[in-house]
Amino acid sequence: MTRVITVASGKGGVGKTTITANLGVALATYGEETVVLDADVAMANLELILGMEGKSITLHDVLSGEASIEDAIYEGPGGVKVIPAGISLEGLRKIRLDRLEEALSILVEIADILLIDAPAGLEKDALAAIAAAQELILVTTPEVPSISDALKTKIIANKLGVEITGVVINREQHDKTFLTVNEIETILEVPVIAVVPDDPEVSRAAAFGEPLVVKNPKSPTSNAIMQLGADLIGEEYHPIEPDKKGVISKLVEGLLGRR
Amino acid sequence: MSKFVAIASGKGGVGRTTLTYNLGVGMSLFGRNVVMLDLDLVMANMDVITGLLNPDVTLHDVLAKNKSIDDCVYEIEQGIRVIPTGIHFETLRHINPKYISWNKILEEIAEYGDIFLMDMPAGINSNIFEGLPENTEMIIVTNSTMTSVADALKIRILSNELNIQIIGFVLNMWYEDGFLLSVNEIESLLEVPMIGLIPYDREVERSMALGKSVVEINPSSPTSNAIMQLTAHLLGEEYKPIEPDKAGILNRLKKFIGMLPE
Repeated sequence: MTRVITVASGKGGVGKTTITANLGVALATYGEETVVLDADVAMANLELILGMEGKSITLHDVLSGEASIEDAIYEGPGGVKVIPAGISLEGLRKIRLDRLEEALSILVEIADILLIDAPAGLEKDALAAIAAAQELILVTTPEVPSISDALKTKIIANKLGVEITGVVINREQHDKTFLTVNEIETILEVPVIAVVPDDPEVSRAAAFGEPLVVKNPKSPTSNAIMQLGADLIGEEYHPIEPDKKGVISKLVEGLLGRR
Repeated sequence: MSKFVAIASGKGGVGRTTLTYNLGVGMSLFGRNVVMLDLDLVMANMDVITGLLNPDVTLHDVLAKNKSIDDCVYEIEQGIRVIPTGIHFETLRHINPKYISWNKILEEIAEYGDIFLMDMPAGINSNIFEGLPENTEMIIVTNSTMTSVADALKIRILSNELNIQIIGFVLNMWYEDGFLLSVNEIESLLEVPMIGLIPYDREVERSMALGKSVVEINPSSPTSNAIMQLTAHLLGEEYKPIEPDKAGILNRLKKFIGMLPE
């Protein structure tokens, strides 16, 4: 059975696409046949983050009836399959969202996991991405505007009959001015399934067009996303941690002259 | 004549609403009558940011229930007027964005101030761009990441198509990082001048959490200075940055050293 997981946020700029891209790569490295669909037809960015920009056939072409969805699938880092949304305004004007359903039904046949990157907001395109989900992951930062928009998204999703799997708190900074995990769980009434620390490396990785879990798998941020991927499919994940003991014992050995 | 300034970004999360709020406070410090409008009908946050939580009448009620716009103009602490958007989905369902006559609404509120800051929604789905008043000046807000500049470019193209005048872009939440796009690179991509460079500062988010703007909480910080500089530029005013008093600091240090035992 294919799992259709939509990643949504409400507010833009909370790291939804970054989480989706990295989670997609993570799931693919665990051996799951993973297809990531960029459903943000107006402000698509997935292809930039994965270094896959400039593909000739995109979701725009599929939704305008000019190509079939199979032709818009490209192989990305770690073997993840990616369907870019397309970035031209021309392309956007020609699309018809009702063609999405047929495209999704084809994707469900070929993927173990279909991961959908939903657009921010609650316009028609966002609602389509949310309604398509069997499982919905909400991404938020620990700030009030972002939580407030996550809550709006949750309410709409429930009205559409979609249950929320959990919340990913992104860009956690351990700053007491902002909301805590407990507070966020209380407000949203859904469990927090991952806390991803803030890391400037994420923007840098995007500049390289390389997802962080590939570029820097040891970073706490990568570990948190790999762990989330493992939890979603019931796998074990052992975080890659710096060998602090090794470093310390070597230091002690060196200082004390022990061999 | 009232001045309409639309603040758009394409991408969400680049600090657009926060900047709008800070510009509003800045303009009010220059003595202007400022009205801030939240034109994001679904993911509105201006009520959260201005502490105007759950106001009785919002722009939604004007659009869906024929309420008068006069009922949803609120004045906040800083002396700014705010027209918030509601968060009730029930009301939202009765609104068809296609049939909103923004021109009429914006005419009706003209008496409430001399400068109108319009916080545009992220994305380009809405027809709000098409309904802006004729003399609107647009500011595009971006960060130095590729994704935000790409989305800013889409807004620039759309605005050109709609003959909206763009006065320039603001590079927001900026920090020095050779991996990200430089000012020159962004200028040549967007083909509009940079009118403000606002350094990244966590104080901005912290002051929001305290229900204030950073220009009030920490007016001498580089970020506040940059915002006030941009405000002055938009109003055609002069602004003298608040510089740290280095001579004074040195004197204090000398005094302190003098007190140290020989």
